[in-house]
Amino acid sequence: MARCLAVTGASGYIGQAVVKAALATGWQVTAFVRDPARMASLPNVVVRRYALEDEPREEEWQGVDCIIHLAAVLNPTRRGEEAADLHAARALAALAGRQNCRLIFISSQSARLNSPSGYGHRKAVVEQIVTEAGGIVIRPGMVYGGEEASTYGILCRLLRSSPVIPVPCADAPIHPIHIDELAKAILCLAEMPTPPRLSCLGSDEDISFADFLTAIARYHLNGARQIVPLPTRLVMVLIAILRRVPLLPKVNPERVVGLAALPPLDSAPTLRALGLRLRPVSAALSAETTWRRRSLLAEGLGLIAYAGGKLPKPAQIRRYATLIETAQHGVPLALPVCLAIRPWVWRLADPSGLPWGQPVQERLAIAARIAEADPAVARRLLQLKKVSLAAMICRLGGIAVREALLLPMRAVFSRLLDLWLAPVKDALR
Amino acid sequence: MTARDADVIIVGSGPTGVSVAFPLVEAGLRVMMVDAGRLPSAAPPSAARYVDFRAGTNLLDAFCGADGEAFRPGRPASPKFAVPRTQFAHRGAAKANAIQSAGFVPVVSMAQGGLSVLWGAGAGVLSRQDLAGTAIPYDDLQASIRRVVARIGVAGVDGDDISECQGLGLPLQPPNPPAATARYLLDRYAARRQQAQRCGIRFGRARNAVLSRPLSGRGECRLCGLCNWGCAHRSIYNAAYELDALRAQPNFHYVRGITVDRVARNEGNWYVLGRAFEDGGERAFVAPRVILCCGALPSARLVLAALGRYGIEQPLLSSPAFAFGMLFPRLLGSAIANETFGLSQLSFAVEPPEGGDMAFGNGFSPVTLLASDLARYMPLSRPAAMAMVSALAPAMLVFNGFMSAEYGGNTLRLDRTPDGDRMVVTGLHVDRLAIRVREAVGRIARLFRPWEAVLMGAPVLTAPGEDAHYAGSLSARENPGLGETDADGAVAGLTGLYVADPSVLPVIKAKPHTVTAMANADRIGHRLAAILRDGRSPTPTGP
Repeated sequence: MARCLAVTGASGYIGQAVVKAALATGWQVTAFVRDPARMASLPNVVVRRYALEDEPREEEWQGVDCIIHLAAVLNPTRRGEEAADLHAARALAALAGRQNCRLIFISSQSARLNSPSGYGHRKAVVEQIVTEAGGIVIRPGMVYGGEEASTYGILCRLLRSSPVIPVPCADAPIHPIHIDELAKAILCLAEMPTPPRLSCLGSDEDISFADFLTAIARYHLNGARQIVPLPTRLVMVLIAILRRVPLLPKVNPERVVGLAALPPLDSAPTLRALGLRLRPVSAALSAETTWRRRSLLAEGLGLIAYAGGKLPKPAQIRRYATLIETAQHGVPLALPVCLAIRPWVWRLADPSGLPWGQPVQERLAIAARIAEADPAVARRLLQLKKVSLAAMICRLGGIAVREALLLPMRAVFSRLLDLWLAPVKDALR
Repeated sequence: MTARDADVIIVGSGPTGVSVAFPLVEAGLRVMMVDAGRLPSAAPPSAARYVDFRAGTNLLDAFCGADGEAFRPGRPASPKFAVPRTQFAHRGAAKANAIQSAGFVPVVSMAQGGLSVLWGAGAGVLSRQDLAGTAIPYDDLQASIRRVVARIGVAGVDGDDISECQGLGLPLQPPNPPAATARYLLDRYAARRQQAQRCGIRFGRARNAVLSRPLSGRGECRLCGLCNWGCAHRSIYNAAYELDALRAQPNFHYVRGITVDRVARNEGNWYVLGRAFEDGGERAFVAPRVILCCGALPSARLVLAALGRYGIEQPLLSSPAFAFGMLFPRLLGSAIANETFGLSQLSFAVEPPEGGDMAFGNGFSPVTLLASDLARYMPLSRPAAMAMVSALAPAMLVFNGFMSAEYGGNTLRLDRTPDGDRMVVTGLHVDRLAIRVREAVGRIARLFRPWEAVLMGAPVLTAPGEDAHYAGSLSARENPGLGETDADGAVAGLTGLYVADPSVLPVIKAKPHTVTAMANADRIGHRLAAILRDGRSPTPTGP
């Protein structure tokens, strides 16, 4: 018999991904949404109207095996609305007790009873209600990927708005998790016979907020953005000003406050228990794009031409792209195509022999091996004819002199390239 | 009584597995060999010379492989492992054998032929002195050494300065002519032999398990230089070649495609339990005696699990390895010869006269190595480094070297986890290793004048485990305790379970130990055959 899953807030960013993943693994889904018209109509999904302040109707919840509670009050404009979160939590907890089904509450990394943001505080109180009733709590880190919606959508809009982005809390410890990975993990916990009380789902190594935004800009928006860290107080003043000015994007000050006070997320135990390995942000985002392969091919063309000294054949360029996709995370270096295909760019930025630039050195090693597979390159390299000692010394001396002249420029440009790649280095292995 | 599959089951088809099989099969016993037996995905290249191979147009698969496994970070640094051809042997093998490592690069092979599908064919042997004070009886071992050397075919010389290190009086095939660089180095060495002796340095021709005359259906080496890419003539010894001879015998049965998970005893029989690759189904094989020849790491795991010895650390011997290059300025400008050889041309030993351990190594010509692999060691831009390496290669020799096991302190431990047993290998090199290596290499460099031979840069040390010379995880002792074996390979405390691979070698010197381990396996096989023929059951050993 198919298991039945009830999802509140199913028309939201996370909710839609959870519903899709649940259908794919054979769950029957009942979606509880505030506005049924906004819910995409999917086969095998029953849509019911449900608001947080309502009492859940028993007949709609019959036969449910697991409740995933995503619905929450996001921008409380009236005081009464804040209480709706707590009311819904108590009602669902009681319902879960009566029906003897599992209640899973999707909380937030910022959930803390003494959180400066109302959002974080509400989440913490609901967590308490749920755990006291025997349900389980999931705290996701920063969710990204897929459709641009919720916090991820706001960040994308922000990044699109200007080439220079002032950013508060640039150092805040972000634990990203891709929306599809989160949905799969939530369902994993829904099916687990004895799940842990509290699960933290985010990358185990945190990255800075600035690096996170750089990765989104580079691999989702395919553009360069200069992130400028700003002190938080200044940003709060700016937001207050922005609210008065019409037509400019509005930012909820609560989010900034929440970001500034973000507690770290201890996700390593959960990841170990579930046997999960999360992809780096750039890897997950570039996998969603259509231009990833093209970028890898451009990079391959330039690197192989540089290493081999002649234009590579299409089979060689294709092999480079395939190797990066399978042996590494498939993340292109994302240099602009007009630069990536030029061998002289790589000659200037070649970090070989210098103590930095590991990602580029590894890619260059792959490109050099591919270049050597070309018989014309082999003919040029292999010492097939004897030459006199004097001629050889002249040749080697020429190489040494050219290298010495090139070294200062290589040192500078390769270091600049390395610094440019630093935010996404974890994915470039 | 349960139907027995054989009189003896041998696990593993590597050099020691086939060496222990021959005497048992010849004695008429029913022998079954259970093996993972992975096979290579591509045939060796058919080009006549290295230069012709490089002129081919279809080299992308040979150089890069279809899935980039050769470039995955964390693989051992030796060029042998960079070649996609050898991936089939060790890819995922450590994980399949539940081996986890910390600070150690575990080299485990699940190929048909074990590690001999990618070894460097170094065929030195440990001497009586090396094994003095151990439980292994050298007189018997010496007879086995002669048998093994005659069976597999070893080429080398018996009369130069390094022959004593590699074993005297053995039936050798004449060696192939050395490369110009090796000849030059040996000439310069001969010119100052006395000074070399004062410094404790010896050079000589390498001794390789590579045929120079046809033997047992294998061809002689044609000096095509494609050694690292696959030997089409079967001149380089690979235990898989001997499987045909074994399978021709009616009392030998070979079962491949099995990963052995554990061995267990029940009512006088041993059960070899494993999973088949093709369907993941469980298989069991039954015999009164089992001989493990899976390699130092997998065999240790099986034995420790059978003993129930969890959480206790056992030593694992390995030979810390290093590499360095030497350039011969007088030979600059030489071209690649018509005939090239990719394995060892010559061997060296450095033994400080004031006392200290011996460093032993081999020199080989880098002409058949890819420029892109060697270029990373040059502090130049990549294409310039490739051009320079290619120009220098015919005038260079690249050396690998090994130190004795005292410079390492590896341990292994079997842990019980909810997902099953797991063996954790922890690697360690002692601090003074780097100093000793630099000192030994420095001695060699100082022996020659700068215009004769120049050391290229500092020696490169490898990580623990990258040497792939493992031994001593189940050492042979006179009175073995738990986790040890006796002189006949019988595991203490488990009657009927034997080990015949390098796990039982109680010492490992800087010399390669493969032929010694094969000879020991041959000796164990003869002993067991004699005991069974005489009708006596093997005496139980240990507490």
